Amino acid sequence: MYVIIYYHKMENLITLEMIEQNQNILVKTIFTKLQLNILKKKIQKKTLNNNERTYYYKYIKPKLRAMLSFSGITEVNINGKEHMIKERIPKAIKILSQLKKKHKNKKMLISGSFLFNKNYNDIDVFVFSKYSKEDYKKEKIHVNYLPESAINSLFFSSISKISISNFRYTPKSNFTIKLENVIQNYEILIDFILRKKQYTQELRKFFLETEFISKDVILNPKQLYQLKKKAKHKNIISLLSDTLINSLLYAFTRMKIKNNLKKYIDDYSELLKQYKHAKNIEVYIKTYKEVLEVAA
Amino acid sequence: MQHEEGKRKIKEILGTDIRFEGHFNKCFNNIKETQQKELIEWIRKCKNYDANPIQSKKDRKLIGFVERIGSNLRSILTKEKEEYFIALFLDKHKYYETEMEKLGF
Repeated sequence: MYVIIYYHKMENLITLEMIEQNQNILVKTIFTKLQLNILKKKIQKKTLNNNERTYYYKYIKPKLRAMLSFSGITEVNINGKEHMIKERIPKAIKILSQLKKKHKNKKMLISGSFLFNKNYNDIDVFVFSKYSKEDYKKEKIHVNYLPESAINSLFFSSISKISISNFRYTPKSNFTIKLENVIQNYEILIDFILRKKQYTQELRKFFLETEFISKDVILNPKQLYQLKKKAKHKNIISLLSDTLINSLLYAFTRMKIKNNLKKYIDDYSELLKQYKHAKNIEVYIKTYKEVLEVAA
Repeated sequence: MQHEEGKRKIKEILGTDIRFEGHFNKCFNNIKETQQKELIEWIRKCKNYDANPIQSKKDRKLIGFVERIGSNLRSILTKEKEEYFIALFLDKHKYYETEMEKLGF
């Protein structure tokens, strides 16, 4: 798996559209016509000849760097650029730059469907902070505060695969996910589905964990988005139960599975005597029995 | 309804020993009245064995009930199996995740 990281790549911060809209002022004050044409070629990824290359590195790039220093952008780190909608990249960078004024010296990262999907609800910005603060929403921008330790989580390793941030990091790729944790999330997910509650966050976590424990793959936000979409069109309960069964069998020893699931079946069978209308319990028992049958 | 009245109504259902955890007061005051009523109705269902229980994976004597309120709030009601209700947690999703992990749900 490859992750592309760009540091200080200024062509990523400027679009052809931006240049064309501001052409008059740029030519009069900062660049010559020739320099601006070279910059346009560079942004369009056209090959520069030797002369143009010299111009670009000697005269154009230093001016760009000076201009960008006013915006407060010191570092831009783009991962998974190939999955992004190109026009959204400068917008995301602008948001980071604007938020930097409010969140001084904070590590910030933009991820989510805004970067890769035509339609999106929110623009998710994650601010990593030692202190817990209230999340907030301003128009489409949803600022989520996370502790710095979250950078070492499976969640972060997933969201950072398609992201723009103002800091460097090495995403962690080794995680220990216990059988109990996968089961716990599965149970909540099934409960919410049966009671027709919103379950997007739980579904995302479920796919992320099951895919990781069974295939050692950390899904990116686009893959998770597509899986969630697909799951909502199918018989979701049986899809999730099958996914759980397969993942547990791949990830854990038969002994571990038997010891834990027998205990859970016993506990839930007892509970069902009191909570006779609890549909969730029936699903859990059925699924855990199926796991044990396959594991036998 | 303010949290004092909400707590009083909840105690009438679950008993006076129930503990309120998380940022209960603040969260309760900030939700809509319809959501407050839904929360209390769900608590009544838990009391009347008409809700979906979840078994703790850390403590076999402990069961819980989980409710989603709006997009970001979660409530967890814990109960000693076949006995009394212990605590009602109400807070934002990120605090809920830590609490769920702690309780083994």
